Amino acid sequence: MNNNSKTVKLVSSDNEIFEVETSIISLSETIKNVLEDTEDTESIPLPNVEGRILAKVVEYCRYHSLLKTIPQSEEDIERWDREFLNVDQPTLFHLILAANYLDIKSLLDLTCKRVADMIKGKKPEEIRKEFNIVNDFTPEEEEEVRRENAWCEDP
Amino acid sequence: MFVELSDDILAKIFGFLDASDVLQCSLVCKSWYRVAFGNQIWYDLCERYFLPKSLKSLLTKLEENAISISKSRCSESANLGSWEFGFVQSSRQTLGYESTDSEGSDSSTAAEPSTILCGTKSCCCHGRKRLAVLITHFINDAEDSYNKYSLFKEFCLYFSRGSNYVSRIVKVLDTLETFCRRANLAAARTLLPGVDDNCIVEHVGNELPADLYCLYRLCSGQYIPSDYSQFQGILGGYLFYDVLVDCNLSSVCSMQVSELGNRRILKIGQDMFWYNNRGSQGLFIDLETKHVIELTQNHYVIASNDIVTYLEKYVNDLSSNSLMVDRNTKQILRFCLCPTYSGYSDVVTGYIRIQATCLFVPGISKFSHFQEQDEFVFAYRIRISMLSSAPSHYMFRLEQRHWIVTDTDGHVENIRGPGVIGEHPIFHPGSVFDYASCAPLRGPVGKMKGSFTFRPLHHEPGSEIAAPFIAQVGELHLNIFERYRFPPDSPERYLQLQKRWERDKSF
Repeated sequence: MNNNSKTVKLVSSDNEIFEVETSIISLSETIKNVLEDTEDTESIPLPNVEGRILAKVVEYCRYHSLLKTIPQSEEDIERWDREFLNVDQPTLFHLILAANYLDIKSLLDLTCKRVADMIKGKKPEEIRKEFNIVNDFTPEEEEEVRRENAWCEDP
Repeated sequence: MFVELSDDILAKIFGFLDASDVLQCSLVCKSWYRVAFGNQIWYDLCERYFLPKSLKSLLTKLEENAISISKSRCSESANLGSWEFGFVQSSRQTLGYESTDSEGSDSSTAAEPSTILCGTKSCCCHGRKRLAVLITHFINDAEDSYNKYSLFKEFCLYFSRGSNYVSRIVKVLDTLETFCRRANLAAARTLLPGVDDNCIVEHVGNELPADLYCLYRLCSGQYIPSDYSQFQGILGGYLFYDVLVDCNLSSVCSMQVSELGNRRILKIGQDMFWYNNRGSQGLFIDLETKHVIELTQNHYVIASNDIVTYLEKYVNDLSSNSLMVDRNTKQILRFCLCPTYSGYSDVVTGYIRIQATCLFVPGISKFSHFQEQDEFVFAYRIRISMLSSAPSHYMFRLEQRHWIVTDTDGHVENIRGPGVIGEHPIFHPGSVFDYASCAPLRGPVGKMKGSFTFRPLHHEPGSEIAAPFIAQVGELHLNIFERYRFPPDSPERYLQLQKRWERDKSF
């Protein structure tokens, strides 16, 4: 049913409209399911996704579905993905939410891995600072968790 | 946080982290704490660090092997106090062992005298049983009742500082084990269970690098017994014209820390091509750099940056068939058919491809100050294969060999004979024939090339059988200096050649 020229309109939370080929946006399991369930869908509202994020998602899907017809080297794909994720933190987190909501596994992996890389090797205080997280442990609780974890001296 | 992430997403992010980072995350805030100790995260970490399924099959096989080996050599191992013997003895005594013991069960054995360390209550056995229980918990825990974090922690405590290396070493041993089984190799019988922490500390103190420590926890090394043919060490080895050419990893109790200049080195075994060589001191670990080194007359050669990489290369050579298995003795010939040495050639004549490689073998060479009688022996390996692209009815028989060996002085010798190693192999498309032999040279440098005559056995439709043809073996450069260095009191002629080689890297 996915014929290349067929398109669908995606409507973001701020009412931006993206007309995208169904073959490209089928990278999203969520959208693919909607399209399969209802034959002649013309537009799909996505109230959880802002326009600027949806634009990124479409960009991602376009590049990665193109790879099926025009293969690229591993390094080129890695470079593209790295460039793609060169965004500020709120955008990165919104991309994670969008990838999760739209069920695009490769994008979810890519973005989560990016956050994991930001965590790696950091101390708890540094992580809190990086992600703007409030420490809700009491000093005693924190000390106890530290004691619990002491067996693992940086394996 | 700038944007709230659900627990599921957070768990996914943590899934890309190492154990120590996940534990750091647990200290960030309460919701992160809750997610960081989720079962799935620790299940995945157990998988990634310890490969429990592979570990389980490995343990089972190691235990079976330990029993069969010990039965066959009870008498000789009795006064060697060997760990594997002790292991079996104790596993019989503790047959009724139940998994009820909790953590820290090893500590009770710590105070026992070393002579009976593995003989009675057995630390090895005890620890390994516990490990087996942990693995079983991991694999069979369908109801998810066992806390996977505790499980991970116990795995880590078992391997302590070697935890990081478990998955790589399990993969190596697993590959080696599978290969040995499939090829029905003698080496399979020599894969033995690992030893306990106490044994290691007893014999080498706390000096083992983490990776080597982990290796010995998983799979013990070997004694080098008087009957070489039976015991080829965990890495296999081979008998070359009655001389053992091997790469053993010594058992923990025969390890010794020694000093070389200002370096502290640990002997872990014999290196393949140096065994029985007068100058050979074996295979060592440099305790400071962790390098695997070969020593010959105190000449220090780095064989690999670390032991795990060394082993990985070995099993990789095995799996890619660049090592050869002797068809009669069922031993692994640790003589790589790959272009790592400059003595390598690969030539295709018609449908026949001949790969050849050569290597100096000091162990069976004779060289002294009497230059006329000196003999430098080069082992060579030949792989003859018939291309699969040949027409399917084609069939060739190897009839004759012809070698042309040129020695240091330019003296040329022609050697002709029927077949190779007493055989006349027959080739079909896709057939491969491997063999190894050796050639003595009168000096340390030379070259050899040759050819094989093949007789077609197939009929072309409507015509006669074709005439025999000759397939070339590309020229091999024989040069001992790539692996050997003469001591200073050697004949002047040799020292000069050595100097020339070191300066020009060619002749």
